[in-house]
Amino acid sequence: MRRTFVLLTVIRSLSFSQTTVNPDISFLGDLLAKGDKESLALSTSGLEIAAQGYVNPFARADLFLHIHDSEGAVDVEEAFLTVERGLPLNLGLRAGKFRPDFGKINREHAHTYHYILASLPVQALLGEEMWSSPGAELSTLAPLPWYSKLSLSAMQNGMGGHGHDEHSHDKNEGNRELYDDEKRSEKKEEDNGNTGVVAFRFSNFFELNDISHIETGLNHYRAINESEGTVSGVDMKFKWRPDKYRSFTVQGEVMQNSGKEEHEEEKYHEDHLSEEHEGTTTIAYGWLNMQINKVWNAGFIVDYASELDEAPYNSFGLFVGFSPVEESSVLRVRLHQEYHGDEDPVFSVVGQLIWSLGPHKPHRF
Amino acid sequence: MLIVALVLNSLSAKVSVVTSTTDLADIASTIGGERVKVVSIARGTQDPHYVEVLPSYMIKVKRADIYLKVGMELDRWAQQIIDGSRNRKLIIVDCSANIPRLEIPTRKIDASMGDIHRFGNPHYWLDPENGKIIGSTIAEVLSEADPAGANIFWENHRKFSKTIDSNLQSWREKYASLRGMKLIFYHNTWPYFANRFGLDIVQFVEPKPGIMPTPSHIETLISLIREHQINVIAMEPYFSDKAPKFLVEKTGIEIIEMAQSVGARSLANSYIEMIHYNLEILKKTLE
Repeated sequence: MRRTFVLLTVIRSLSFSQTTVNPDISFLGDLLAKGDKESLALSTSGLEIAAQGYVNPFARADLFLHIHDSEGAVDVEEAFLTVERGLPLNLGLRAGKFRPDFGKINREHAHTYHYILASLPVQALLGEEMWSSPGAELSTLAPLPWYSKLSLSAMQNGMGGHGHDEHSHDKNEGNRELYDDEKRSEKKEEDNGNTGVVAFRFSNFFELNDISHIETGLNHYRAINESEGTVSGVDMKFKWRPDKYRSFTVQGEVMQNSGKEEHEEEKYHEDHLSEEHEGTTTIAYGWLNMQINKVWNAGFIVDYASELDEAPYNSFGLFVGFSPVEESSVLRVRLHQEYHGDEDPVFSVVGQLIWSLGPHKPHRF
Repeated sequence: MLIVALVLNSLSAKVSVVTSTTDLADIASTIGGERVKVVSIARGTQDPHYVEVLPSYMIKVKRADIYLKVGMELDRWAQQIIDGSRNRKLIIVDCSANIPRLEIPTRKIDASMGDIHRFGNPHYWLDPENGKIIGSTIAEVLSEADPAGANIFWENHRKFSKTIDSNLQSWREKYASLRGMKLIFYHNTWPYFANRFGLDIVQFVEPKPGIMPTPSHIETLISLIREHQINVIAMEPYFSDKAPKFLVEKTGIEIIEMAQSVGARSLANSYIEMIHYNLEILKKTLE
């Protein structure tokens, strides 16, 4: 009897300790639908698995895996350690594979996009899944009265790749198919870069009053091999949030890719943004979102590239989102019109149902 | 001269305290008196479950000596602010540590049950008896951060507890008519308050915590209101009044907005005022 009691006590304490040390684990899935004049396509970008938690009192770890629907391949999107408290001089450190602090959109996960799809010029420059690479990042908070942060990242791979390992597959394959452009959906299988790059970001956050704030950023990217190009950018975000469920947000970013010289290694963004590997290419996007009440949001997005596949490109999208049960599931619809060079404008409608199991949510109010 | 200035400055330096909510801020100000400087992250009118983490909050915490959390997973957002502050010397205190907790789940919980807190209902500050416990926790940590002020902090705590005790005595007498009062709350914020003052919570407008009311749940509420002759729906000011207004149309029930935190209503500007305001507004519905 006593042994049984002891055994039960041990089991109970073990299960309790396991529960308390387990990281937060989340799963995110989606269904994408695209329709145009000729077809309707259904797809999914697969499943994202997130595990996040503290490693010790000073450091936390974040892991984001992506299981692709098409072939079941698993990518490590990000896996990194963050030390935020415990270092001197207000320093913070990230190390592992992660999305460096460069611009706004590069750190945002695709499932948080109100507009469903990242703009094509941004994908062409940063990578289809944004820019992620093994590396280390040091940041510090400037001794100013407001939040002012300087980040310096040293990364193995340059931007413009697929952001995942050699066995990786395109997370946004579904998204890209939705654009229905054969040339654009062509993808490079090989990882790119591997020459070493550094990126710098200087961001400032100003609380204008109790309900509105503005954030600005200056970004610069340079390959260690100077024959590669540089990318410079500015970004801005403004948010007005009078109460829990209403907000008005504007975000925009401009990036300029310049100074490239011809070299043998092909890169995805070079193919798309600068055929000559010289001169400058400017890309930009901007979106506005209104959270109307607890369940509805609506807005628009515009994007622009001075050159994409040898021709100017821009697009315009209207989007609406519906979140019936807090943050756990979201239905989004986007009307999208693209203008590319002299080609006829392409119109499409994109829908997305996205859900989450666990604390990592597709939507924040 | 410089040394004298520095010494004088250090002697007059206040303990900097950041709190998750205005309730903790008010109690910390009462206990700390002139020796502390207190700032709350959430405003009284905000839902403390959901506070958008802003970098400017991290700057406030970066300069702080102490962070007071509500705990019990109510203010999970606070940890991100604390981490982002990079404050190595920060003392973090969970004010729920010594609270006798209500509604601790006794079986496995999941998202189908709504926003259930696995460590129990976290709205414990709404019982004035718990206010005294919070005050004691705060006096202890302030004494640790500023040992020279320990006697003052404990003396302030004694006065604060005495004020609560005397108010409780008068509240029990003045609001005795509230005992057994049946009412519907919007969200399950009030079990501690209801227990203390003998209110009978019949149902919630939310079918499950954090879940918007469904048509079938509204039908159930209409039946309950008629069956139990319930006269009042009590809600926090930050929730949508769409469903309650529909119930008003159908049943003639009255809606009141209660103060779930200090500053949530204009007549609830301190911890004591907040409790008093809630009792008073409930009593008015009986008249």
